[in-house]
Amino acid sequence: MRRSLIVRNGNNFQSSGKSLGKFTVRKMISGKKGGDKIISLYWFVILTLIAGGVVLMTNAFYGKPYDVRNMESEILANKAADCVYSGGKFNPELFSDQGTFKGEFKDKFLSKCNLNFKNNKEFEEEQYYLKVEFFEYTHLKEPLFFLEGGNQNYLSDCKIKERSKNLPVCLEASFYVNDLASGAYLVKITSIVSKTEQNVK
Amino acid sequence: MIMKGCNQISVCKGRMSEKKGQVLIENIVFIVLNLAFLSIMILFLLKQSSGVAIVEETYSKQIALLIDSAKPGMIMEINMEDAMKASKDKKRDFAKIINFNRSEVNLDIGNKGGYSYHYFNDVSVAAYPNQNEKGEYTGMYIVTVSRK
Repeated sequence: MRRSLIVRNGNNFQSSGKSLGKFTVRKMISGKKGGDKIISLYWFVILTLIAGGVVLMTNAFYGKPYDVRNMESEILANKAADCVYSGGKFNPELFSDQGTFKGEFKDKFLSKCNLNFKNNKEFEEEQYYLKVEFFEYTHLKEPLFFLEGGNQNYLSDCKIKERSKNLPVCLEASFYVNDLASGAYLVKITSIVSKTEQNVK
Repeated sequence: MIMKGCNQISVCKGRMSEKKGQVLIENIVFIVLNLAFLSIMILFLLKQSSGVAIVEETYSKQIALLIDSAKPGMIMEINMEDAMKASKDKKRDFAKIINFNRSEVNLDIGNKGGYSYHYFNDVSVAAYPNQNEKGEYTGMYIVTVSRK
């Protein structure tokens, strides 16, 4: 015949009316053995969710291409600046003997500055635009002369105030030059790099 | 509280010790599974960060920008140790991973076409890997820029 163990106040074992001292007793709840297995199942569901979240975040981060267009537009602007003015002097091919700007340089601006904007892919438009404007020091409102090359359609995208990553990257830089032979000018360079497919996802 | 099924304290203690053994094993299995999960996650992250596609994109863009800012006559030495490791893993010749074609630099490590990036500098470019006295690749690539 089994005897039942009676605990009073959680501290005393008493059997057949006799106190057996103090024990700490772990409460055994019958019929709850499956509870641990259910909890572990929830735990693995949570782990799976965490793993899925980590995979998504990793793919979102590493799947994004590096956007180097800012640097590229700066290099393009520097290249144009070095082409038209270097060593304290204007490019001699830019001016004629009479001291005026040469139209020939304007027609072959890209090749004269060793620039190649052409794409290897057919039916794909050029991904760059470059414009160099020359303003007289005394008359800064309108350019005296300008050189340009590339895709002119990007100029309108640069005027949009709310910049989006899907728009081309535009850079405007200007500097003053003082050539003793030619005079003082403000040179304003606008360089635009599109290449959204390779720099923006 | 009434503990059923325990007619003696020693029996109850025995059952409690059996339960302690089960609890210990369960905890160990739980910890081991958690550690396995964490290690798999970390390995996945490390693999993603050093993936071939990322290496190809990084180096092709770097080289394109370097060519853009270079002038004819320049010789540049580029550290491409990561690319060398990746090409070893993919069993690809390190000397053949960089190609230049009509103002585009192409880096192909995974042999799946690679990654191409256009450069606007109209120059002639050549590249070859640097080798030590034993003929082994040092991980450096020499890029020469000359007038067309």
